[in-house]
Amino acid sequence: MKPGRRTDAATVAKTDLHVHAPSLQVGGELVWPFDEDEVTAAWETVHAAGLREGDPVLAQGLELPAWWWAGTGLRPDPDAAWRLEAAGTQVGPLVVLHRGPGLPDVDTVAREALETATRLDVEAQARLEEAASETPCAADFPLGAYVAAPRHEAILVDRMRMPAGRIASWTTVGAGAAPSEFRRLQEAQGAYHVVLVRSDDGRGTVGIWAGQEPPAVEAPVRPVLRRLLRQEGAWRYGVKFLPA
Amino acid sequence: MRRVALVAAGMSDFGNRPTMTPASLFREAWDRMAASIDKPAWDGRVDEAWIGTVGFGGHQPGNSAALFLQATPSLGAPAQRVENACASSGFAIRDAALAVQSGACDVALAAGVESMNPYSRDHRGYWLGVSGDTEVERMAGLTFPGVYALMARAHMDAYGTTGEHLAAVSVKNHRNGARNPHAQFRKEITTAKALSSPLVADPLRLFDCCGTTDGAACLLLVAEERVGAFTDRPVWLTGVGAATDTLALHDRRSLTAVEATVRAARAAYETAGRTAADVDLAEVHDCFTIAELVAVEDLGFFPKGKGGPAAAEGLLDHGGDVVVNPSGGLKAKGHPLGATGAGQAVEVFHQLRGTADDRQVEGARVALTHNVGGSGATCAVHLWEAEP
Repeated sequence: MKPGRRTDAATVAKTDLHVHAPSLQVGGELVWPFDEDEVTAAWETVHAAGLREGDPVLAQGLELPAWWWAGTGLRPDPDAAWRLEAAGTQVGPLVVLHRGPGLPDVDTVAREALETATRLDVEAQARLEEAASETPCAADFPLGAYVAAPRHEAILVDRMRMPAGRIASWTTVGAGAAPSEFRRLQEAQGAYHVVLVRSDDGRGTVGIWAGQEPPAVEAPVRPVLRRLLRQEGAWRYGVKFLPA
Repeated sequence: MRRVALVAAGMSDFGNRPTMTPASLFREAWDRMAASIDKPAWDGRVDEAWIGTVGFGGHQPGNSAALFLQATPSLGAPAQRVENACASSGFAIRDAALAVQSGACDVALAAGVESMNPYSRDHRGYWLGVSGDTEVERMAGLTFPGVYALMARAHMDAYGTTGEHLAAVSVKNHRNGARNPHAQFRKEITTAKALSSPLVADPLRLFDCCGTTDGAACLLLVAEERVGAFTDRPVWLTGVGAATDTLALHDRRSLTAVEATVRAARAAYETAGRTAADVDLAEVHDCFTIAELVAVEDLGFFPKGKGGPAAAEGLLDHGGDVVVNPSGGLKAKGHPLGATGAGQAVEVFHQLRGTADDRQVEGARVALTHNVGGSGATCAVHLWEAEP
């Protein structure tokens, strides 16, 4: 397996139950890869459920930042019928969106996810996790192209609402062509693809490609929420793209 | 409006010069500019100065214009830093020219300076990205090689442009740079070498990219009535055009054209009363080889999509339809960001006075300079003509 390349995470969608599992496994267990966590999985589940702006949701056992709520447009409500929870199973963690007070039995779903998850190169993931941390920050480059966290989150909120689209162009960013924030990650991961996408609403944007196969011009894609890198002690999230 | 003439021009050696400060680079260019004056009665004073610099590395980001002038007899004159990324000194030329045209001053300095190499790899990486879209492009893992690679792939997809077309630009500009004593890279390369160099941002390879350069360039622009005090063979600035576009590539209508170039060129041609067919030589902004191909199309030298074949057929070389980047361009002469636009005009100064030695364009009468900021967010185009 190439570090950082994998199939899409397993998502189970039923009328009243939506489950998102990690896409990687170690031995017989599911684990979060370096750029996914419960925050990104929570985004996947509410998208799979087709929840709309203003829909009430109760988050239990999940620490979802303010930008996540703004980006999804959902409304935190302690009385909501939809409940978003982190769930531990016999084979690893899941994020579950369901109706009703009791957490459904999702062990079966977890075992199904395990069967389709990509086997994890543990050492490679550890290297990526480490490489994604300690990136240059405001203190290192006070006059540089530093994007303050609140501004980054405001932009992310807008990008989280982008519709699907098609690839207009793409590149493979090799050594010497990555911003310094991504340099250590690139050294650990190797060259990565970036796609320029024309979304269905006519807007353009760019993002790192999260698909397993190389991108192609005109291919349909969808945005996904992913962790990018750690800066100043916190993860910075961003929008990457997967085949639609 | 008054006519504006370029009566003196000089550039420092472009290259990897980490022991030089921005001020010492500027002084080297200033001294060479002063030495280029035919009638050496000038007292070294300008009425006003416009100095382009990005301030790469955070070196003296405030009040730098005063720092540069303080080693010259012109200290005391009003001066300002002009910042439009890689097009900084292209816009400095424009500002100085408009001031002379309007009568606000008679003798104006347009200059540029950048020091890029005395910094760590991380530091350079950080500053190479400051002129791109930091909020989205940068956080998508892109810097300029990646952004221009996106343009290159789109151009290839739309028009069949090939790696060989890109390599033809690189080979030509290295051949020209080898003849330029002030160029950063003075070695010729082969097509095979260009095509086998490492991928930087697919489809762009190492030899599709310019280097990081330290350098400065100074130009003396004067009003028509003052020309005789400096020279009998001025270069006339006849066309001035500038434009902007969105900062980020993905917000633009086209990935295969730089609209700011199209608009700036149109304005420059109109003010000069010229067309692309009149241009004998052009110093265009070839920060990447694809940028030169897109530029020769957007400037009107060739139809859209025909830049690549034109390069491969030698139509951009000496003896071709228009000689593009006889100095070696950014690719071989070097690209000290804020100094690049003024450096282009230094080459034009020599070409139109017939003093470009063995890179001289035969019969050069009309020249164009094309200076782009970022991936096309800003652009300044100027037309220059030899004394009739």
